[in-house]
Amino acid sequence: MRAFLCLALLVGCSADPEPVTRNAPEDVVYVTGEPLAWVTRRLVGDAVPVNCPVPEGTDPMHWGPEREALAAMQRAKLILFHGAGYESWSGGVSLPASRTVDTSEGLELVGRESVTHSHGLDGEHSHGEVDPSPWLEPGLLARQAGAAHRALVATWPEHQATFDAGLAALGAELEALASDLVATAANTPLLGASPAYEYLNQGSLDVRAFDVDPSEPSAGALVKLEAAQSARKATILLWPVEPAPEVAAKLEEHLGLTSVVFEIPSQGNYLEKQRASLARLRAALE
Amino acid sequence: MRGLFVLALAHARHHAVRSLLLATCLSITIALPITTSSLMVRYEEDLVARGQATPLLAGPEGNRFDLTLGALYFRANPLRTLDMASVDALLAEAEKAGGAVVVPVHTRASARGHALVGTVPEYFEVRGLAAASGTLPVFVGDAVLGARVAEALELKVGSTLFSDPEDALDIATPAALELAITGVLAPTGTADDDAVFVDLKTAWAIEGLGHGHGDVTAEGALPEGFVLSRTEDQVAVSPALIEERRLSGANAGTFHLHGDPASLPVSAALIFPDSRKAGTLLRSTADRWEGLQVLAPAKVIDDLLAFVLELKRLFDRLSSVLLLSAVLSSALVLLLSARLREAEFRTLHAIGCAPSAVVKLVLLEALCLVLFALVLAALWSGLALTLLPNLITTL
Repeated sequence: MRAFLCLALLVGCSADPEPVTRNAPEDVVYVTGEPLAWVTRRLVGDAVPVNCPVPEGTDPMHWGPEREALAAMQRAKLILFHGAGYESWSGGVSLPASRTVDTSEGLELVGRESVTHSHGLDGEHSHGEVDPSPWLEPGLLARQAGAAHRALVATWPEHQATFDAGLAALGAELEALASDLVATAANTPLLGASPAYEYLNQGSLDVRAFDVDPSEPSAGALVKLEAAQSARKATILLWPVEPAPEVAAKLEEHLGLTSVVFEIPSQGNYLEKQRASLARLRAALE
Repeated sequence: MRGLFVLALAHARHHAVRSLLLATCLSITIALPITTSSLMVRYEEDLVARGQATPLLAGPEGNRFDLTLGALYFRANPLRTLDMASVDALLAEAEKAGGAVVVPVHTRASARGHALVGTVPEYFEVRGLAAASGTLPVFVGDAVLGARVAEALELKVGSTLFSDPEDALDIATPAALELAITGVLAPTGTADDDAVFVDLKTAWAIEGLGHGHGDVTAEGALPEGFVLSRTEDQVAVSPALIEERRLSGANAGTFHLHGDPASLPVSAALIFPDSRKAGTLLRSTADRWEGLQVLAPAKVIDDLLAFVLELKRLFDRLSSVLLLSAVLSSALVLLLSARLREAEFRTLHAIGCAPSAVVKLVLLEALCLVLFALVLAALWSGLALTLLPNLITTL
């Protein structure tokens, strides 16, 4: 009888599971690489911590986040994407769409040549059809900064004054850079060795660009370059990296094209790199 | 009086089997309505709490109970699906109405018989779910287990789990996807404990609407037998190409969806408005959209409970009849037993007991039986409430 009573008491005392505390997002903004990380730091100052999970010295275009970085990003109150395919890894990850902002939304993106594929009777498709670097053109980066600013204000309205001041200062610097670019090469037909250079056309430059391998251009690319050069009478070819010396010499000799390195600054200080590229272009034009 | 009590206990001990049988019969008839009532209260509390924790629910037109039980308790239902275009439209409308978190859920798949729920990271936040071990899903192909699923399937972080194929005998249906268990949720005592959670994209991959594979466009990337045709800008690949059946961190980047993203299916969308006004505005607008209904799950559950309570009242009446019958049977047994004990009562009178003492003795014996039956009834009810699975999660 005593045993029965004890069992009855024990059974009566069995507890419900403890409620779990709601896991609210953390006050931090995650940015997926440069130049948007630089833009965001300029906008927020010290008001909100800015995290960029891309390790220093790593090309963000060829980087993918580790599990821990993604878990941290999931908890962030705001995640800013460059968009336009810059985050090529985003298709295979799970991030909160309600707090992820694609800053390239609304921009006119430049297409890339790509090979499509189909699975038997399925419709054909390809993976990645636009160039991921609209921010090469300072005016477009300013628009991306505007999108980041709107997202920041919506997330932390209490810091709006800081964000407004940051946007005004950044906007002025980007506008000055865009003006310098136009003043340097507005009326000069240019050729580019990456489709990204066609974004400069949206800042009133005149560039025709193709995918050209800087170490060994394909025959197809050379034919396209030759046709474009003869039609446009261009004398400058913009490269994202230094081309092989023999490639530069061959293009100079056969097509009269001077090679100029105009970086697509996905690492380091955006303004400094753009100003250095502009100086090289100016020197080549002189 | 104390002497009578000792005599009554001695009699019960002497006829232990008879006493135990009588007490057990009585205890069961007492325990039954107590247990039913307690389970009903628990059922009601759980249902109401889950309903109140989900302010609004959008889904395809059809039976509102099916929609609510499907979205909140992951029950299979015959309803059509909602497309992502509708979810995006709800998001846009929510923005206009004053803000809301819209959480799509896909509940059409299962893994080893347990509901497999495709959703977005916001689900874990609005439900207050946290991983007791490991992490929530971060890659396509990751899965996090509800506490009871982990226990039932004896799985932990690092294990794998296959989704259930739609039809194992039909080679045209997508094969099972191997999921990597990356976390186990802390127990919550809700339907979330009995589900496996994956990202929405993983759920679409299980349905065959997306897949992962390496580069098929580069020359030499595939054996030529798999390439049906190749031009400069198009490669047709044989459907015999085996897609990745296990997606994880290493190859999650190869995952891609086919078709129009706006047409991808979800079972329902849970809506958590920022304010009462935003919820009212959103509901009044979206509920008029063709093919869509917007419900307040708390109201649907109230209606459901009205049916359940009717059933409970019927149970209560039946239990009362049963209890009356048991009491009458026990009284009959005691009366018949008293007749058999006439010699014992005469002896009591002969040794000087008052005539009323015999009546008191019989009543004390009955009281002891009832008290013992009550103790047993408490034990049965306690055991039933503890050992019976949670009614809600086994709906």
